[in-house]
Amino acid sequence: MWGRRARSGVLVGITLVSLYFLLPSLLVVFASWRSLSHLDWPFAILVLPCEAASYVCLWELDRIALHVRSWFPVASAQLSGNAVGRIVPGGGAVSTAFSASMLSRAGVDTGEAAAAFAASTGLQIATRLALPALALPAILGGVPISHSLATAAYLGLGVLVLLVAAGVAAFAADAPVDLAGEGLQWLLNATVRRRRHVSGLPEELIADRNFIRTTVGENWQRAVVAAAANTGFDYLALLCALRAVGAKPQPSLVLIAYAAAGLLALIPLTPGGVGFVEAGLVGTLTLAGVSSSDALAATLLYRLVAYWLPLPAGGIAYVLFRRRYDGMWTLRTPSAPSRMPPDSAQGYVRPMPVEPAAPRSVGHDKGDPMPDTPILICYDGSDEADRAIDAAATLLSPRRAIVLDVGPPLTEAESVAALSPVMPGGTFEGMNRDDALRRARLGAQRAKEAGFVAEARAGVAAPTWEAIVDVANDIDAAVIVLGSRGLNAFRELFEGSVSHEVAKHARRPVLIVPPD
Amino acid sequence: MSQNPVVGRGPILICYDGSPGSRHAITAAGSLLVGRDAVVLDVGPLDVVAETYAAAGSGAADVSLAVFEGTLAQAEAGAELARQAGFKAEPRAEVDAPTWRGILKVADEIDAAAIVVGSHGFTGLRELIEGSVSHDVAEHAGRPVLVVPPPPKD
Repeated sequence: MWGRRARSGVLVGITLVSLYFLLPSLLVVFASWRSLSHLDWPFAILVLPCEAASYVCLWELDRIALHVRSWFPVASAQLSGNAVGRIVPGGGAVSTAFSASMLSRAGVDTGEAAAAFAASTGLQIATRLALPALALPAILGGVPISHSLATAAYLGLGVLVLLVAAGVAAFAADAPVDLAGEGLQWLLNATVRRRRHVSGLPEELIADRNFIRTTVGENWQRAVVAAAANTGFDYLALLCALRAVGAKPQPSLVLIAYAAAGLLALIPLTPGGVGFVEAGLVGTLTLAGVSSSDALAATLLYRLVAYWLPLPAGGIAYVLFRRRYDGMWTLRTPSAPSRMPPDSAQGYVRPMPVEPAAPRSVGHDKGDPMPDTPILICYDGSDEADRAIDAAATLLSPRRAIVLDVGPPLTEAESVAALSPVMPGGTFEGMNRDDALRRARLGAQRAKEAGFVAEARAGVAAPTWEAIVDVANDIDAAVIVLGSRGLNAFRELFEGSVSHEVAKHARRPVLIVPPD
Repeated sequence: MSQNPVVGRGPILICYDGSPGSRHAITAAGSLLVGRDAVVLDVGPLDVVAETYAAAGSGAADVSLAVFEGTLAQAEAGAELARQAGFKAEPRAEVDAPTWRGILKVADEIDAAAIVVGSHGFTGLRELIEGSVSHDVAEHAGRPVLVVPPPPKD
């Protein structure tokens, strides 16, 4: 618990320090809002459809990588994950984790989703870094270019070569993926997750890689076109923003400026690279021959549409997604290649093995027939959960009890730990499920001692309350017993108070037991 | 068993307001908390109290007496229901009972083993506007709270 808080604290600290240093340049950009009043409106409005088209191309790319036919879940998961990644420090990894866990509700395997998002992000970055190459003919043709901008272009091309080399290596050979898996596994066992040894991570990574190889491999032309169009429209949006503020720089130089600023957006110190991009874009645009006041205004306009507008859009997408998938199990298209057996590919709360029921407890009064409807006890191993069991035993007559522990598909430590976007979500999910079952068994043991006839059950789901309500409906529980503060702070932040949500949605009695 | 420190030594406190939801709450609680002592507290809505004001005519003493008698009668109706559900039930009236603070004051006074409260089952906007007494009670009670939602409509 404390380690978790310390890690979150360090991340927030880094973000705050970075923002402190970047604040002056951010403020300068925001202070230029007055200059937006003399916009060339046709071009300013054009920024919007360009950026929208850029997003549509990104969703197309995600659809190809995920092998999902419908647009809605992919688009809403991408928008929501994107918004989360721009609010929470930890950037890409957190947003990938969030999108993947959302898609798992729509029936897509978490590990495959994470690998697909990683592949699409990689393609996106690669096309962005490849842009300076397009400017090469113009520069050779005699367009004057400042020395710093040329350096930025070379740097971008250098990173591109590295990225392409890494991508090819990861796609073509097993050894690098295996090595990365071994390394990550060692890192996790040494740091984040001491309770349980991680194993089989390299195999998991290779399986996820193979999935991407089939999906992207089948449609690689479409994928490359989608990635290029995504970057192209985004670049057009910046060009339109420049024209809207009245600047008419060489498009080839803007191309290099744009690619260089894209490099800066990858710095994961602030959410979504906010500050880094503003500072970088203003600087590189100035190098490309835009007057500094125009560069500030254009950056502001471009970032308003490309960065700030998708934030509320992500919120709306999340709400729409929840409305659509509340209570729905699967979405995956029938033709999708899946390496999971059909039953486990269903996503969401997966059916868990149930411990065989113990013989009737000795303290039970034989004259009073035991009610046949079981109760559901939610357990997370905390002192409070133990209290909830004891209180239930005192208040309720002896009866059958299902002790349920719901683990998260991914804990926040895991999403942050796997800082590489290539995240073995499926492995974590399996481990969390095993953890959950182990804790549920402890709870069942305690419940047996308290006089219940108890069975253990485990689930992996987010949000927790939905899994609880589902299992309660499944067993037709007479009452749901839970502690009032059973969830760690991070999950409460995203999911709200579990006891409140369960009481609100359960349609059956809920016994809420407070901490001591 | 009732000496167990995790729950209070007193009876079960049942909040009752005469609504179908709270009648259902008593029945549901009766099947779960078999054969316990219970205090049924009237937490009726304010419009019932307003009618009582109108009926009582003038005079502050008359009014408070009428209010008290009205709520006690309501509590007795709930207690009767609770007895049918298997509780050993006593009625109780408090003028400030409709708020969660009033409910918790009584719960502390009798050291209730648990509080039974019906929820109106609103979600979304209506919950936001009308608030949720059951949620407030559960949050502040410091003792087990059994929240019973309205019966399914089908």
